[in-house]
Amino acid sequence: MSTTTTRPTTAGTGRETAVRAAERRAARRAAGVTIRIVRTVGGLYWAIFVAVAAAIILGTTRFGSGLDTGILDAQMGGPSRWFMMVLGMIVPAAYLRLHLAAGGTRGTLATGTVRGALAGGALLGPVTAVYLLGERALFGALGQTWSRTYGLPVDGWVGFALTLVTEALVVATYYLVGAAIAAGYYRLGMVRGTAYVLAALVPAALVDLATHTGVTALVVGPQSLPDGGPGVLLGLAGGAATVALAAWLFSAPLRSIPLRPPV
Amino acid sequence: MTSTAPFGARLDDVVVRFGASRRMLANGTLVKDEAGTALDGASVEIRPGTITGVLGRNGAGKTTMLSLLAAFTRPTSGTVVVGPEGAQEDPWENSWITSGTQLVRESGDLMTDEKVSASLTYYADMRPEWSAETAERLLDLFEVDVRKKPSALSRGKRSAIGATLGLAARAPLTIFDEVYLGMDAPTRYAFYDELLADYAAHPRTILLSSHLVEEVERLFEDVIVIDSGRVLLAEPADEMRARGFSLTGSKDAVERLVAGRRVLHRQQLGTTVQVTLEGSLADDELAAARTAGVEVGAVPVQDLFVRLTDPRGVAS
Repeated sequence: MSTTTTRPTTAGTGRETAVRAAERRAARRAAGVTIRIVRTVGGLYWAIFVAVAAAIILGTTRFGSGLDTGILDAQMGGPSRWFMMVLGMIVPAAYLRLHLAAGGTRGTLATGTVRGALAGGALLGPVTAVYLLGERALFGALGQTWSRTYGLPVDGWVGFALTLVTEALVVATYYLVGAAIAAGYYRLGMVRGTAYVLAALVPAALVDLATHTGVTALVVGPQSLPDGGPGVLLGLAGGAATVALAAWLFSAPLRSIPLRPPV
Repeated sequence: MTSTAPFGARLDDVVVRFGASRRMLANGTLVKDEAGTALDGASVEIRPGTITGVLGRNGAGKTTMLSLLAAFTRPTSGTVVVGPEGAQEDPWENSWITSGTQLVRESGDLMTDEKVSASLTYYADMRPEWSAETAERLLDLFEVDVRKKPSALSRGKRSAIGATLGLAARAPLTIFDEVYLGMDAPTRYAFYDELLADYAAHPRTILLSSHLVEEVERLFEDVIVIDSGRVLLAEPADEMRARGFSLTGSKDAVERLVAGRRVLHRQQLGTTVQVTLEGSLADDELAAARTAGVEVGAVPVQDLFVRLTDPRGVAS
């Protein structure tokens, strides 16, 4: 869509102060919504996941020969990414009209959503790390050997810290990938939006490879990914880069979505 | 009074074309919107600090024009600027303008799956001039239970929420796009009274789009009439009211007075004829009409609007 509208320059620090305040308010509100929903749904998800995982571990030990792999690894190295992607598809799109009607812009919705996704990652990353500690402790208490196929190949407290950070990056990336898919459909329509899904999924694949988790790591094979120092560096830098890429793929179509009047 | 000066707006030769698209309704139904031209060279200036009525038939382009002002959409070509006098800017992705513009469409834009209170909190946090006291009072007046989800409320109650949002936001440009839908008469009149009182206490620019022209025309200081994507007229309401008059009387007497004038509407019952004419009568013509037993009347804005936008054209 081409437009010939112009934006005259308006001088004045009062205006600039008001703009900054408005953008801060709007981004904070959008981030707050994201955090609230991720916290609520994520909390429910993990509560159910932990209960089911504990039941499976105890059940297979009591009535069988136990497990030869952790529950999280059996779920392709971390299933929480999928509900995050679904939330990403739903939440920003659902709030777009309300956000604009309340005086926000698409840009502040994008900024707030990215901040919310990072904060959501910061909430759920530690949950994954703590879960893995619990799973390991439960295996140990039941006299079974626990090992991890996926994730960065570092043990001990450093490994715990790396899991915390990389899972946070995974959660943020997948949320933004979901948001990018929805924004693509909203902006580009059915056919081109479907093509955009392929581009939107690239960060998801990259963060899988960087963190040695998820479906892409399963397909490639965790053993074929770099380990040691380069692996850790790739995990952190690559994870951060994929968040940035997902954020761009989300905000680029979002910023030009027109809201067609209801017919 | 709001701390920001009332916003005005200007559209210059604005064209808005929509391509065909599909969208999902709240109930999950997929609907197809046909391609079309919503605005076709619309130009208009909206004076800051006035209540302006935006009139037009269904599909005339009113909602599209109002959506442009709130940056919900943007023009295919042409220029849209909004803002205080002398400092108007393109509203698209412009926080300075959007944070000062409140568009309320029908029942307001609310989260359908959350309690009304959650959406109100969202607005309150985003709107710099939000009046919690006004919101609380109006919700009480309209008897809206904010603990319910919008989907659990009647259409009238949802419209009342829209009215509340518009007034409590105290935005320098407040736009009500058919917020009366579903409201019963007492609620509508309560809304009009509240709007006038709040406007007097907190001057700002208010745009009011409504099909109930007879009810709201007393509020209008300016009127914009849109027809088939173009602005047919934009002027003070008093000037519009002076655009026409009616003559009622015997056919022969009325026809003598009609001669040479543009007839907007004609009705006949037996030997009695009523015609709506464009323009005004000179003093001597007025006297002649009275002498001939012809009654001269004013024409309500609604009648003029109906005649001016009649697709069959005016009666000759």
